[in-house]
Amino acid sequence: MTETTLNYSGFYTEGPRKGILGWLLTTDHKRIGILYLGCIVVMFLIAMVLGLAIRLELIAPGKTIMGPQAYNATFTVHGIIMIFLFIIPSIVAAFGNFLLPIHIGARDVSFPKLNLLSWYCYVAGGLLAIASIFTGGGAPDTGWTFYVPFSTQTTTNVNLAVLGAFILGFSSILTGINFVTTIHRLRAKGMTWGRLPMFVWTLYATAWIQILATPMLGITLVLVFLERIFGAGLFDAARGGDPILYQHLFWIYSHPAVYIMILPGMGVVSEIIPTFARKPLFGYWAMAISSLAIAFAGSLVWAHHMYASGMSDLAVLVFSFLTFIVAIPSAIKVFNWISTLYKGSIELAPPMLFALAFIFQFAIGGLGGLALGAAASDVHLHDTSFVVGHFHYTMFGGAGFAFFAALHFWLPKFTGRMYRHKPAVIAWGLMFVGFNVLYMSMQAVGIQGMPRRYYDYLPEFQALNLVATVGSWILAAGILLMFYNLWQGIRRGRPVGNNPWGGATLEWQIPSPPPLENFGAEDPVVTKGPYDYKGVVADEY
Amino acid sequence: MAEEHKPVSYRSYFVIWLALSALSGLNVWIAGLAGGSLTAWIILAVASLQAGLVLSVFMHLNQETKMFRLGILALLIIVAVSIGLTFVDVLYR
Amino acid sequence: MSIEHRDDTGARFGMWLFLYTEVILFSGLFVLFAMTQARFPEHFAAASAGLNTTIGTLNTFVLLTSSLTLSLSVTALQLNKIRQSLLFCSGTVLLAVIFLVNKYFEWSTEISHGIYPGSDHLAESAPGTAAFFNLYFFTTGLHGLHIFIGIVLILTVTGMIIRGKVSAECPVLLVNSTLYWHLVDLIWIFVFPLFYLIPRGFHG
Repeated sequence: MTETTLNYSGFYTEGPRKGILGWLLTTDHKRIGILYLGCIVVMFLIAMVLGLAIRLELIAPGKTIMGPQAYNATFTVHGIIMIFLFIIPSIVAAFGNFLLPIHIGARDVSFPKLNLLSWYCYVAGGLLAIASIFTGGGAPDTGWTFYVPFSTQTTTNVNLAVLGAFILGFSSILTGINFVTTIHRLRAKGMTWGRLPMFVWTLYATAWIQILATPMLGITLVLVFLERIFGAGLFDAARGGDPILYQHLFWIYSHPAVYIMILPGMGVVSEIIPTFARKPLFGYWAMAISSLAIAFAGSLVWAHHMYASGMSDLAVLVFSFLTFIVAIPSAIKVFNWISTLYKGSIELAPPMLFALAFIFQFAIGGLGGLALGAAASDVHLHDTSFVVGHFHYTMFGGAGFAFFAALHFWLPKFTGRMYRHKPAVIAWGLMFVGFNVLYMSMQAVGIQGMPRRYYDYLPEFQALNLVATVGSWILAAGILLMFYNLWQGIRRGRPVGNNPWGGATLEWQIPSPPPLENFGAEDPVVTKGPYDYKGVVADEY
Repeated sequence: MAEEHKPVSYRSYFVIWLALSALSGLNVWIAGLAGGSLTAWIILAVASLQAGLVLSVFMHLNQETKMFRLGILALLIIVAVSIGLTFVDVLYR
Repeated sequence: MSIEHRDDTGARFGMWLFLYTEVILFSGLFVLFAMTQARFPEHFAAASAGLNTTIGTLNTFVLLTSSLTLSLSVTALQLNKIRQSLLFCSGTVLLAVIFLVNKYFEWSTEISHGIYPGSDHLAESAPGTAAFFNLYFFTTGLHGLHIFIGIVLILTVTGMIIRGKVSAECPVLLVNSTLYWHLVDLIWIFVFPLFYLIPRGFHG
């Protein structure tokens, strides 16, 4: 690898302040995006270590490396960090912040200061969540769902954790408000709704969910907090309360929240597939409308997490039916990606490989979702490790892989340097194999009846658990190689031009890294769609 | 700028305030008359009417563009869905 | 070339989006209220009869009036009548404080009767009664917190009007504070009948 210096550093050196304050007080959407990205990667690595510890404990029956209490705390903290500090903000806050204004031809978001505040909320919430591990009565052991009555009774430090999650919710809301306003108000001249990149459409749908669903989590967590302080008994069946109502309130947010996690990932894939197939995205409006449809239908189905909770049979029936509706827009997306690939001039660059892995794994996760959405099969699968496998297929195999795809796709734009492709492909291969070995085994052992959330299990489940744990090591090796390779690329990769991949959206028409305020003296005027590749040529690097 | 709001006259604000106060009084009166679900729905309807007045005049929604109204529509649908679908469980348990 | 261009409509739209989140926040409590009311109509009727409707009605009136004064303040500012605008802002703050004082007396009466979240009295009373009063305290408490935040907000904007930072040319901060204040009023328009009026009609 040859040492090369960039003679141009874009927004990294431009700006009103220099040094660390230039970052901590910045209102530049690109710097805030980078701040988010750094935090998010760190959080991911921490939670990944916890996940590896969970798998190591489960390598054999009985106590391997930790007892029941430590195990409960580990999977709780793994869940809290992965969900609230990694997946929910991952693509939205890091890539969304960096790219959304550029994609619509704006110089920044509508409320730059609010944007910075949302990052500080993220940091504050993250610090509180992490502090809850080490203070009070020990790390929370309720699972990330904070189900009552246990969460109102356990002596572990749930108070700090729910407070942290509340503040993280605030951060998410502020981002959502910013994005909806920005998309409505700051589109460049000629950037009609029909010319928005699909990534922007998915961010738009996501932002609406962030606005309309997150406060429900806020009030739910506040109520858990108040219950722990006052012991009022709102969710205590013995005192007129109803624990199932807690589950309703919790999932009214938390089911739409899975679409906060997956929709931006779908947006990323919708950008990558056309770029590397050299074909316009198939069915633009179907893709745009299905994003909104997923956001809306996703708000109607929350109680499919509660079939076994004791809610009414009618509700089980209704929610089971509604759940299948969500499959329709999701399937439209998958079909349209495949149709985009059909007869395309496909280039299997690293971002494309991650995007293809996304489609494969998301499809498996989606099909597993149908098995869980049908009440009859759910009663068998409920609370087994099939559920754990299923949501890792959608959240990690889907949203997580989309995040990695986005890293490989846009880091050259963020930094002006290209990572090495061969290690990236090897890392991808390790991750793809490790991922499927790990979670397919979990699904299989779940169908056999292994319950989730126990540190111990019956001996007959051992073989598949062993396979899963080995899979987790392969996966982790791939992830570490990927991050190492990307880091090397950032440090001393080959410089890239404006458009290393030959993309047609606006970010590829400005320098890498982009300058302060993104576009030169004149505001951009958009004259063609986001997937019009006629005359677009990739720069050599 | 075309999107700037025109000042609303003191008079119109007073009229709306009178209407709101009267409707609140009406609600208290209705509640004293009879009970049951019909009364409950009437009271909620009156409250919704008040909400409409506050939204359209006090909060200037009648001067805003379609974008603002669509947002309210989305909000109302989500609130109605949250309450309605939860009732599907609670009422039929 | 600067990103510091003004977009008042965008600012208002952002404020509206924030208000949606407030509505959802309260609607979580309304969901709980509706479900529990459906389960224990008689307990709710008895408990609701224990609330002081006179103070409740008075406070409704106070809050509606405060909404009026703040709206008048916006018109005054738009017409560049700064003194009137300031006067109306101060009136709004005064009315808001009156609301909180009334609330304080209402709450302290109830607390003196042993009615507060987690009290022994409620623990021994009927399940629906306890649920009603818990929700009552949590909802009116959260609403009271919003009133308090509103007071701080209006005082801040009043200061900015004095310093000329908010003016007829640049009224959006006052307009947005007004939007927030009206929403707090709007929520009370529903809280009041839900807790004070409707449940007492369900004697069974």
